Amino acid sequence: MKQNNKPEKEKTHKANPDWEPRIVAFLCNWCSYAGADLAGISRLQYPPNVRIIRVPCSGRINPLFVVKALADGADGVLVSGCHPGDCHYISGNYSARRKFVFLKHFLDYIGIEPERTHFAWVSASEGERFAKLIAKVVREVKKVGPATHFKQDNCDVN
Amino acid sequence: MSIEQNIREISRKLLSDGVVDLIIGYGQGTLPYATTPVFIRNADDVEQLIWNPCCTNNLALYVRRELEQANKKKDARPLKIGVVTKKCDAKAMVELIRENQLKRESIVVIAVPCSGMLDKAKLHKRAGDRELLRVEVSGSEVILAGRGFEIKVNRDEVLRDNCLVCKDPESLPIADEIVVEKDDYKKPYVEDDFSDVKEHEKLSPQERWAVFRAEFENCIRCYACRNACPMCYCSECFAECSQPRWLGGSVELKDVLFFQIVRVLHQAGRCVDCGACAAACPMDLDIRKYTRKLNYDALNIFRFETGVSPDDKPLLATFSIDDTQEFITEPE
Repeated sequence: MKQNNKPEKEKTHKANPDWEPRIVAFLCNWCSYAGADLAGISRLQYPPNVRIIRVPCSGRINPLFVVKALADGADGVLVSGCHPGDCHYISGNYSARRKFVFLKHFLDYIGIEPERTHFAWVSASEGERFAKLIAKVVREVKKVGPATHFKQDNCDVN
Repeated sequence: MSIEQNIREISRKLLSDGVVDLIIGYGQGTLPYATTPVFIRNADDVEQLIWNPCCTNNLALYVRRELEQANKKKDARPLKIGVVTKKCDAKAMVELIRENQLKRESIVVIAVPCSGMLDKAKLHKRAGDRELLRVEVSGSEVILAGRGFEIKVNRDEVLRDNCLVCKDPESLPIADEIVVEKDDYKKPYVEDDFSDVKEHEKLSPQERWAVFRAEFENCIRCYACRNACPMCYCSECFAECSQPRWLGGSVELKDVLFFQIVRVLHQAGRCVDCGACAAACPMDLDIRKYTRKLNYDALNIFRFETGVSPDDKPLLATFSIDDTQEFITEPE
């Protein structure tokens, strides 16, 4: 198998200031999704870069989902659930928290910038917090630019 | 009496006394430096059992598989298995007991004092990638021989990296029958300070990704690492799951990297660092580099080490209210 000796591509976000990141957000049904809903009905403005996927609980998130989202072209991933102690299923978010520690540190270790993966707690009454969170996540992802880790031109072995 | 004879003697006794139905141990493989698992049901066959510094497979894998097969048969009496066990096998069995994949009472642990296993990649490198026809160990020397060459190498230098950092390989977390014979060779011990992990963390994200990509660019996705791992026991692996299909089946780099990331992540808080994956890899990839990061995090963040006690719950099956929150994103 040939070695990939292609030079690192120029980061396109520097060349293209209009670049907008695509962020996949996994929100728990009981808190964060309702928080996003509240942000909406309160007419709060936040960047339109997130694609929301509703899940029953942050404990439902398999690290595989996060890696899959990144592999399939997301520039960043956000997972948000109920605050510790407020889980609809009592302890789903506590179990999730342990998984996420390993996931976040491991992705950082292999070179997927920590700015791309975010874990947060947002309750159903925190519409404003949700809007601010999205703004912050988008800001962070913009700092590191488009994710090229799994892109074809970066992965091409021929 | 040698360790090998001692293992045979114990096995013969266990089988003829009817204590166990099956002995799982090591037999001579087809290559001079390879062993293969053997399954012995008859006391007359114990001569097939061998012991040498090439017994790299982790037998816990086969123990779990055999018990699973036996449990599928209705109204059969519960199978009891005697296992030739070195420290990494014992640690893996401890983890499997914790995860309810094994019952402690189904196994009889034949504890063998291990003095480190040889690294096949290092042997090949020493032999200049020439074919090895004979690998012989005497004391602290290893003799490598092939067509037209015979070289002696220092045994310390061809041990597997995970054997070097193995502390006290003679004390096993679980044991029933003890092999009292000892090897006259004592392996060196290197304190594991995870300096390689710490060094890697100092690189920039781009460099780290380049290292990761360069390592697994050569992966042929044979799944040997997964199949040799005692902790990989899902009846349907995500790699072969068709609904949904998470990744393609080819060696396209994107799929290879995706497979390896998720495979490694599945070892969080579970990897016993037995080196079975690295030993099984036909491309000699540095697979341990990545599972070690998880072990480092487990130790560093949760003060958790695998393979110590069969009574606790697995790390990720439990939680504490005070678990770390430093990685959580706050909006302000």
